[in-house]
Amino acid sequence: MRVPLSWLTEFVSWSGSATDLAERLTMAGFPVEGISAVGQLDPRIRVGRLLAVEPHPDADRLQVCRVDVASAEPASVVSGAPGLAAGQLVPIALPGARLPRGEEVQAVELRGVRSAGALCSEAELGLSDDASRVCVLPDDAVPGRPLVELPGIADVVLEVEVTPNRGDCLSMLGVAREVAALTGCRLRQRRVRLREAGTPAAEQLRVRVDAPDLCPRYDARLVRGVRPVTSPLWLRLRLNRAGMRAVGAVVDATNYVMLECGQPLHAFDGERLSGEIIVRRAVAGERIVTLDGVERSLETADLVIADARGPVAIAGVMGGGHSEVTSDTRVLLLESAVFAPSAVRRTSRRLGLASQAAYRFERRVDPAATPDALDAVAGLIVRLAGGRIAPGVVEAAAGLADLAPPTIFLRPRRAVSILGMPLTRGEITRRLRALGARCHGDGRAISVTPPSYRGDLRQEEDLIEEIARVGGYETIPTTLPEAPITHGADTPTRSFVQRVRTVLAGEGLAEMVTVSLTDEVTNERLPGFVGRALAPIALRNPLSSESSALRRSPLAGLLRALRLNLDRGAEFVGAFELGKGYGRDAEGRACEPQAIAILLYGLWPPCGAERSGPPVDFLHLKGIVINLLATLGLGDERVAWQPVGEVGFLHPGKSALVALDGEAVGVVGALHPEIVQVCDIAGEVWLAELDLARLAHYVPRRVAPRPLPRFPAVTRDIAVIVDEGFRAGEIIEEVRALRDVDIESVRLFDCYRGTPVPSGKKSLAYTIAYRAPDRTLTDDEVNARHAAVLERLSSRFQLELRR
Amino acid sequence: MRAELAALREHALADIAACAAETELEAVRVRYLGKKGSLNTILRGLGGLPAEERPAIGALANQIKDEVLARIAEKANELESDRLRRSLAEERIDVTLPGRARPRGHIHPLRAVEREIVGIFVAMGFSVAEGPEIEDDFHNFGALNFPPDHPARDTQDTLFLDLADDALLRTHTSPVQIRVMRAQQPPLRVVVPGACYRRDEPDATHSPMFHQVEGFMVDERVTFADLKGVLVHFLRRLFGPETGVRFRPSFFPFTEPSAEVDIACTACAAAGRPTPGCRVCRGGGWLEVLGSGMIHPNVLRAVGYDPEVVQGFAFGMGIDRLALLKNDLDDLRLFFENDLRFLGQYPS
Repeated sequence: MRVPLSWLTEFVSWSGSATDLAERLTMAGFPVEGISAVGQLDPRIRVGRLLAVEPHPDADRLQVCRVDVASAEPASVVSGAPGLAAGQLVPIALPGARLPRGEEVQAVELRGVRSAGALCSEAELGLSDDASRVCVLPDDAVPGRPLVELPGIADVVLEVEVTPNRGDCLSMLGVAREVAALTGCRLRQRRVRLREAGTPAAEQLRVRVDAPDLCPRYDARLVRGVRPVTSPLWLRLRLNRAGMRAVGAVVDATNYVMLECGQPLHAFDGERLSGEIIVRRAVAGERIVTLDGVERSLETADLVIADARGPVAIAGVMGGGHSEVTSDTRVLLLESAVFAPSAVRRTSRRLGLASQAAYRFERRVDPAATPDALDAVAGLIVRLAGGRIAPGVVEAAAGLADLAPPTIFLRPRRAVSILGMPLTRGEITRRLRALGARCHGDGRAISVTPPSYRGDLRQEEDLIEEIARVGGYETIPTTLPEAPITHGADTPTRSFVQRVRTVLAGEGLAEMVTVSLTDEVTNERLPGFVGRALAPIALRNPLSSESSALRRSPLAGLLRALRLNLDRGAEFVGAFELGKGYGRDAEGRACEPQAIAILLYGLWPPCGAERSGPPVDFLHLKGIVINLLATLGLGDERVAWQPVGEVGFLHPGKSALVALDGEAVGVVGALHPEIVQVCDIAGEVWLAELDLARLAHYVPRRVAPRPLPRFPAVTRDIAVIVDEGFRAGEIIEEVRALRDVDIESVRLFDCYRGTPVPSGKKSLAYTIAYRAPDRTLTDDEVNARHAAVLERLSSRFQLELRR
Repeated sequence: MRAELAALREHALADIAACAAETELEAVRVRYLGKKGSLNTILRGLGGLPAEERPAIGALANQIKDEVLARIAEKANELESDRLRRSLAEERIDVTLPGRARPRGHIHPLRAVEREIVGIFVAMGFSVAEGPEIEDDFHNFGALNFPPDHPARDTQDTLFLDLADDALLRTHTSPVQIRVMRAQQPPLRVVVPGACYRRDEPDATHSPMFHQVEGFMVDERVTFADLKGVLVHFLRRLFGPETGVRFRPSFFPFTEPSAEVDIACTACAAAGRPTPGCRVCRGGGWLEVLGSGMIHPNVLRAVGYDPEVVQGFAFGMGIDRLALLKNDLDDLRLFFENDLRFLGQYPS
């Protein structure tokens, strides 16, 4: 809320600086987000009295004004503004004066007449957006005085944030009460005395509340004989600075009083209402054209103000167009009421109608203050726009009793135990009384009755918070809990994730964190591995179609990031994300399995003096995955790389299913060319997705080292020529299948195509290491074992042994 | 014979001195000291000498042999150092050629900061818990004392899912507070890191997905003063031991009393003086980094605890915002775009 300091200090005797006040409010839970000095006009802008306004000799649209600025000679100013008349008091910027927007006024000659200054509009002075005419100053302004010295021109505006529980502070009076409670400054409450005349209101007007649960109190007054006028400058300035626009005296007065005391007020054109005022729930399908000219359809949950013909206002939200106050309005019905916060909130949300009134009703208004606000607005209207106030207030307040402040029992010991600081009973009651609460009792509990405007105080904790707040949180000591020493711990899964992160970053990949939302098409196309059996989950209220579903695979995020990096000129993308897939399982339950997702694309960065490294391929990615698994203690012998089968988003011939002890734990391979094309990417994209949960329990807890070999190994090489389609791993599996304990390892060390190998064939070369744990193997022993290997291979496969 | 030996010595030493390579040196050794070398040739005449002279001549021969061998070794050393000197003078590599480095990996700054935050609490005896991102109204709002018509429950602010009626993406990590408290009994000291979602258009300070760390402690007499102590300790570990910290009253449905926690601006106040136009704090001198408070009795009741018996505090912070501050950045989108030129500036 925007609080002009001059307005605030009408209600509280604060005499310190704005910065100090901002600090006090901030530290009491009302953060001040800005302090701005407004209306700080150049002192060379003066009050001037128009002595004469004469036509310019050579220009039809210009006038020559003689202006008394209390100097020896009147100033002569040429102006094109309409409505100028001798006797008016107007602002005149003398030569050299700088206007708020930055331009400097200079003495000029206009069509042969010298103009020593400029008459200013409110817009030019930064006082409002009215640029249509010269600002006319109040009669008590003294010619020659700097305009900035006029009361209400210069001011300081604090932008105060009010938390939703403190609706009582959405007004000058509310903030003033708070300042008084915090600083001990004196609060100045105004008493309004009205002069009433004519037929009592009760004889001309009836009010009936059919829904006292939603409208506990409804007060109305009648004012007759008002004139349409523009509000005076001081009032418009205050409205502007508090963030509202001035529109005309009557409506301005309702807004002014609302800003002043927090009670929203509404003025109806009394002659456009027929019959009694009824506050009731709307009938389904009932319609009303609101002040903004839009026809709205109402529901039974909406509360309306109606007359004999139908709804005339949506209670607390917006008035109706038919009974709007216009320049023809002479009779006013003024409304000051309490509406239930939840009803106002619901209706205002549903209709998308946010208003200052609704904002305050939603945050609860002071049920005891409606008559005061009604009197204040009636008095102000008569002062601004004339008219007579009909004697008496017409009231319907059947629900008022329910709003009486509760009595809360506060145990001082409880306050001490929650806050962790010593507090005497006297200090506690002093702080609560400063807030306007009444405190009684001398047993172990104090009975506290909060003031009517503090509807947020309902239970003991609310009061404890107030005790801490008024005292200042800075007065509460800073201690460490008395608790036994225990060791904290991260979760095993998170520790595992950290391990994976370190390995993959060590492999040269960049970790990414991508938003888990994707579009429906990508989600359909890219089930990933962990989400392969899950149905996509769509958002009900997405922000955009690009993020309208929860992704099934984190690869969706990596692909989006790949696109972005390619657009920005990247040639190599090596990335991973430790994130989740999301989806619905067969039973309809939401699942969010964690995955390790890796993406490789492009040419490796140069390694040494070269333009770039080689293109990334399957084997690079496989190497990374193998290293990752190896760190988890999962050696080659437990991991099988199988043809991928039915994983639609991958290239069927260039992808593998990774199986651990026979159970699938992930996929590694090339993104399906159709998807690559849709994504508009040139070349192959290599992806891996592993199921984190399946791997997480493999964290090796303890290494059991094998003794180092004591005898030398003997190696024998095998070279075979096989068909192109033959898979190199089959030979390794076959050798392992021999289960010869003296075969220590078998490894492919060459894969060759070309002369002399016939086309359609390839040459594979393996090296086998033989070693016995207890002796050096003799040549004969090795030869026998090797012969067994060769025989087995020859009998199992179509292959030609090379010499 | 003495004369012959003396001459042999002279010649041998001269030849050694004249050698220019180790092979020549070996030839010299063979020529004078080899089986068929000059020395042996001379010594073959030893039998012709009177017996009493033999030992003296033998000793002389051995002496000469030792001397020659020593000189050969010495010369060999000289030749070796000459060779080394020459090769050191000749062999050159270009040390300015690019190294053959494997690509460097990078850990995402959000993850690094999250780890740092969690690590500080773990060191204070907090355990870590995690919970689902797909939540329901009860855990995300109801149990946390949000009134039924609270604006946060609105479709304007919360992302709802096409699942069960009240399925939503959690808007904070606080539902895990409920889950942990329902599953375990006090004393509890827990932190909860994780992703959260709100219906915000992405901009410099908003992201539909963001990250929080939630923490709470429940025991028989954990106080607001303890909350201050724990958070001051945490913030000074994270931002430096001199960091200014202040607690301001605020309002959250799930805590009372509630406090916003500010740290002195990391840009201007840390340098000793708040600056009016500071781009980080906009001149205020303080940065809001945490929300906290004493757990509301209604929340304790919702999980089946008796607020007359146990009490505790809870706090929550945005990892993303803290990561911005720690990395001196001002645009959240950098974290979620994953531009490699950005990520590449962080260590692995």
